[in-house]
Amino acid sequence: MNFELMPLWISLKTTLVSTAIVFFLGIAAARLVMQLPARARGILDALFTLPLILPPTVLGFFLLLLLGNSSPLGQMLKGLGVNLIFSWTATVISGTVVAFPLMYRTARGAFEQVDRAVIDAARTLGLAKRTIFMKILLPLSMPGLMAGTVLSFSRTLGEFGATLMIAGNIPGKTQTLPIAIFFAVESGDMKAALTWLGLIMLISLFCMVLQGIWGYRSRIMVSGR
Amino acid sequence: MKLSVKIEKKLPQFTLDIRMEIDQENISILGPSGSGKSMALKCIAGIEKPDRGKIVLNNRVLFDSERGINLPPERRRVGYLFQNYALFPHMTVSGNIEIAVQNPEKRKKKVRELMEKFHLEGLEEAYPLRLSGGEQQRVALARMLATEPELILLDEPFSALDGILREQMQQKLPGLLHDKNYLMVTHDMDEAYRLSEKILVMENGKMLAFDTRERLFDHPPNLATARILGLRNVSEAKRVKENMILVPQWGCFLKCEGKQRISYVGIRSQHVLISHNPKINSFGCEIVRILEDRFTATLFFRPLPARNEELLLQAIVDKTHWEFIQKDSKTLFASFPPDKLLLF
Repeated sequence: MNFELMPLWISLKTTLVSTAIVFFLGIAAARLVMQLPARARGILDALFTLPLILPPTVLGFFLLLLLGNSSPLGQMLKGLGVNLIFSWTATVISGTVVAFPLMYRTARGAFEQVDRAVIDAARTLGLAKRTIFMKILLPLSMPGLMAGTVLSFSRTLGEFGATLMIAGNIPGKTQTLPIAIFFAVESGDMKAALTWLGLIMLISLFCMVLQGIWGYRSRIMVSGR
Repeated sequence: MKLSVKIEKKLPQFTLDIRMEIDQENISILGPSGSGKSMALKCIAGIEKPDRGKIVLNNRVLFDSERGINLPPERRRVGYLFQNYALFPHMTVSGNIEIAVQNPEKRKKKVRELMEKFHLEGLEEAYPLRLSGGEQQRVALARMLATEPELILLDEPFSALDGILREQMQQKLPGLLHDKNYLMVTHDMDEAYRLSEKILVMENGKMLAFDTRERLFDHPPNLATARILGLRNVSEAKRVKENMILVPQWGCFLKCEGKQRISYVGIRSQHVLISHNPKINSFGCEIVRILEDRFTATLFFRPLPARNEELLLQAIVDKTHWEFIQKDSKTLFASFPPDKLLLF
């Protein structure tokens, strides 16, 4: 029984860790891109959005090339005694990479829809850039950031292609829910497949409810109503 | 407060080009919408960067393109009141003011002082969206003053207020600003006249005039300025004698001294006299349309004999006077007092 619940546990762990990483990374990237001059902004924006455009298997293949034993980075990591490929960390890496564009883009959209005059006003009031970001831009973007977080969570939870490419299907180690479903169906174990299916639907439902509540709360916070 | 501004900035429709020196005065920048007046204000505040020029406030260089100086807004000590006030919607009234007070030790005391001064007591915990327009403006003013700015910029400060509230604020504003000098942007000439000693008139990014309000209204230096300041009756004109001009469009000669080389003549609607008795510079007229206000009436009239059906001149007269002359069906005369004619 304990073993059977492993995919759920792995999936939750992976998704939570990835989402947490993506939350900060996406916000930082959005902030960085917004401060750049137009041309650099365009290039970086395209680069950051790429994982969203590429098919997950292609993305996984790239990651395999990048982190695999034959690449310079892979060699370096090996020298340090770190092997990422086919480890639990790999599920987090693939989850993070696929969800990153979603968080980055929603965060940027959320920042951009904040009234320019409010930010300009803060500047004329002599507030430091950091203060403006932490106390004004971030809270006012909260509804968007929350939506981005839930999107990222759902995307990571459902991640299949890239994860299979770099983390494989090692039960109890890298076998996440979507991968478990695929292999259960493939081996004709309908009971297991349906159980996982039910679980994943429950989590998704929970996400939707969470988004509803967060969205509502953060809108209240922003408008003060 | 001493401010010297000389800026140029290329914009999509035109190039903004402003030069002015201000010394202990309240100034209005007056111009139609989209004339670049708000952009000028933003350049002074540091929110926008001019292409060329220099801005000096009380001997402090805020911007100098030649020396590569461009202080960010947070270091300019310039207060800016935004048209929609730009309050922080997620902070309470006291939070909005508090965040602007630099000195943490004086924070509480300063907030209390400002709340009192701007009659905001009791609204400490309210959020901006719950406030009325007037209250929002007072919060924005209090927040701006919390930073102790050296110069105050007001962007269309009364456009979001209505009727009585607008009048009240126009009357109270100078006092509320601790009699600090301000530079205000507006498209309302009455507001500009009421609230400033000097007016800078702008159109398409260019300065048309910069002078004391009296001189500007009495002797506008050019036709474009006069039009922005409300001149409606304008026509081409030619000087035929030292004290006589010909206005072909209006079909009349007018007695008028002063400037010899002229190409246009104009007269304010308020200066045209309408009566049953011909006076100096009079001609018969036919009233075509009337726009009645509570205390005045704007008469749209055609000079007689009519040469041009399209041509309509305007006169603004007192309602009682209009009701009085209406009783008599005799011919009406419009007269243009020579000293009220504006020559360009």
